[in-house]
Amino acid sequence: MVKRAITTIALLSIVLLLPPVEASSQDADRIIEKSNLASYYAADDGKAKARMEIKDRRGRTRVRELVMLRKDIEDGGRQNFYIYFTAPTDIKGMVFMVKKFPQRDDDRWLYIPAVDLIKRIVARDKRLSFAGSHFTYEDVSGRSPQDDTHTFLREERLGDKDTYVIKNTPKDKDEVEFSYYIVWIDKKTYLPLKAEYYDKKGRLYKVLKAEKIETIEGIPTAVRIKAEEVGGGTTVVEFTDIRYNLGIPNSIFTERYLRKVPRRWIR
Amino acid sequence: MIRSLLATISVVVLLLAVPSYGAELVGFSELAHGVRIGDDKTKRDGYNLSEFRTQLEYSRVFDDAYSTELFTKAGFLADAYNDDASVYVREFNLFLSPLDNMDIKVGRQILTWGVADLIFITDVFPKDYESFFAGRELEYLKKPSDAIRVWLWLDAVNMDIILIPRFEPNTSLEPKRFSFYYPFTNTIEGVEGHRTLDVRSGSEKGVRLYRMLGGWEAALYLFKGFYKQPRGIKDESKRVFYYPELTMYGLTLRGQLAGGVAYLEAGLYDSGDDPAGKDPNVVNSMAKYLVGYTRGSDTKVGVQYLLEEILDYDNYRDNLKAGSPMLKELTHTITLSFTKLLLRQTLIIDTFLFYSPTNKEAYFRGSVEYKVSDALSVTAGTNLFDGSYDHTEFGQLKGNDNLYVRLRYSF
Repeated sequence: MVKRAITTIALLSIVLLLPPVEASSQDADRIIEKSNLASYYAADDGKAKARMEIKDRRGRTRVRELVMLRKDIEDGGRQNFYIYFTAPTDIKGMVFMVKKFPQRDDDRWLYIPAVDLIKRIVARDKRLSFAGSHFTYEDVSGRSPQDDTHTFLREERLGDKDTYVIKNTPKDKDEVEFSYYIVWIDKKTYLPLKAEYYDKKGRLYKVLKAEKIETIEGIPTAVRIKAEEVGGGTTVVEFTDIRYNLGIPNSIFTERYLRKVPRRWIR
Repeated sequence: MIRSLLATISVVVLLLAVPSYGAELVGFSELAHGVRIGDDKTKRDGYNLSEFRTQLEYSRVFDDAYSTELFTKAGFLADAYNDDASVYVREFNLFLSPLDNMDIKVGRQILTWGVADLIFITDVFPKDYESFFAGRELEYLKKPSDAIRVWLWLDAVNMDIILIPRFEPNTSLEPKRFSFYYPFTNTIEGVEGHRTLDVRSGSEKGVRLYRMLGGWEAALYLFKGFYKQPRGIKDESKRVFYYPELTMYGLTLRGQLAGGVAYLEAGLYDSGDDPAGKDPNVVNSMAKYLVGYTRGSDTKVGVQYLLEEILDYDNYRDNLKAGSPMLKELTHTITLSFTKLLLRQTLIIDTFLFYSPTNKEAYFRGSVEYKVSDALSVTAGTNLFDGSYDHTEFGQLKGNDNLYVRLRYSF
């Protein structure tokens, strides 16, 4: 009896000592917001070359190479992307252009030079594979923080870094293939270091890891990211030739530059 | 001939001497074989496609004030069907920006206008229907043009001006290789078929004005040139076709709607050699309207509806030659497409169906492509035609059903 009372008191005091739940979820929102800015809105614009190595379960490897330009219209809001594929041969020269709008569907185009064709691409299906890799379109251009509710789980040491661990549950369950995902965010840089995706049955099915982070022009940047399907394949993307604040003009993200690759920025 | 060859060589040599920072060479080799499963008698009843091709692509970027680029796509084709081999140049052009708001592309190039899928209204540039129906890669449906293309990027509206000094028609189906309809006999002819295509020389010009309206792309088109199909008969007894004059006025609109892409394409075809529609040997003017909608990406579904109207229909009807099939004033066509990407986009299933209730005809094209690796891909596909009448677009091809396989190695 006494033992039970002590246990109850102990439990109660733990509960009372914990910060209120409301405050944590506000913290979680703030952390995710900062993380979104750190991962997808660093500087005013940026450029990088990317090499994706896609391995299937049986170890067969495919490679995609591209150059990516990004320009922010407003931090955390509108943004433009220009992706120019350089390899393999069958997609070389194709351009994928995105005008990202947080409040409505993005505008997307794909240019196929062999037939001088500008295709309009549907902006839904953000969770589909990007260029056949284990990354989704959202992994490339960011998932809007407003699409999930964020729950602060704990603080945790991951490798040699202190992180916030946050659970993200989609507001619209039918729009995504996961039931929730947990992300480990570096306390110092606010870069996501790891994310675990759980399917509708609550099983872990995909893990994203920032394997290498470098400081480029003063900005902490993930330069190698791995996406791993549990029991399946992997994609490793490595970024090189990263530059920030180049002054990329808005005009690059128009029909003109689908045909005329902006070499000054792409080279 | 020799002079132009020398001129070309000296231009190339000059270009190669200019300092540049990017030069790249890529390409592929491909083996293609298509088996006929139709029952018509043609030159080779067993197959209508059997060839080997190597195609190279060379691009070079120059470090000059106009950011000039040279692009060449050329190949070698060994065609077992016709027992010949040839070298072809698909693209050879210079692309430069002489002004801040101007781009120019000069030389052999692929020209595309319009927004519809496999139905061409405002795209009045040459096509290769033989490649399309025989089972070559879809890229070859577009035939190159020797042209000067100028883009002006202005604030209010963008302009795309095209000049084609010498008119180039479609590559029409080759008699004896395909069986199709001949108006001279009012029947489908296979191995016995023959005709002459009279290509007159003439220049063509077109302009497209376009801009974004919110998230919608809007464009107006004007083109003055020739029909790309031989829509006129020059000499009935000698079976000579020709390409009548064409003026096209067009309009397209494309944007996102309800989670998909919706589009509209309309064109007025003004038949210059038969303005009143009284000449039974020349096609009448026509109006064409199309609406389309696609949804999805890795699983993509598309639907289109096309309405074609023969203008001056009374004159057409009153002057029709005795025994000629009479076309309807309005023709309705529906297309359905379905594309599915599987296995991390390495397996691609692609199907497309044309169906016209007016003409009681249908055409199905389907293919399955598997990318074994980044370098190697295998494609198998089919073209199937059906129709109640001999003279309709797809009905006349009903004896040409085929199955094909292509093996491509890229490097």
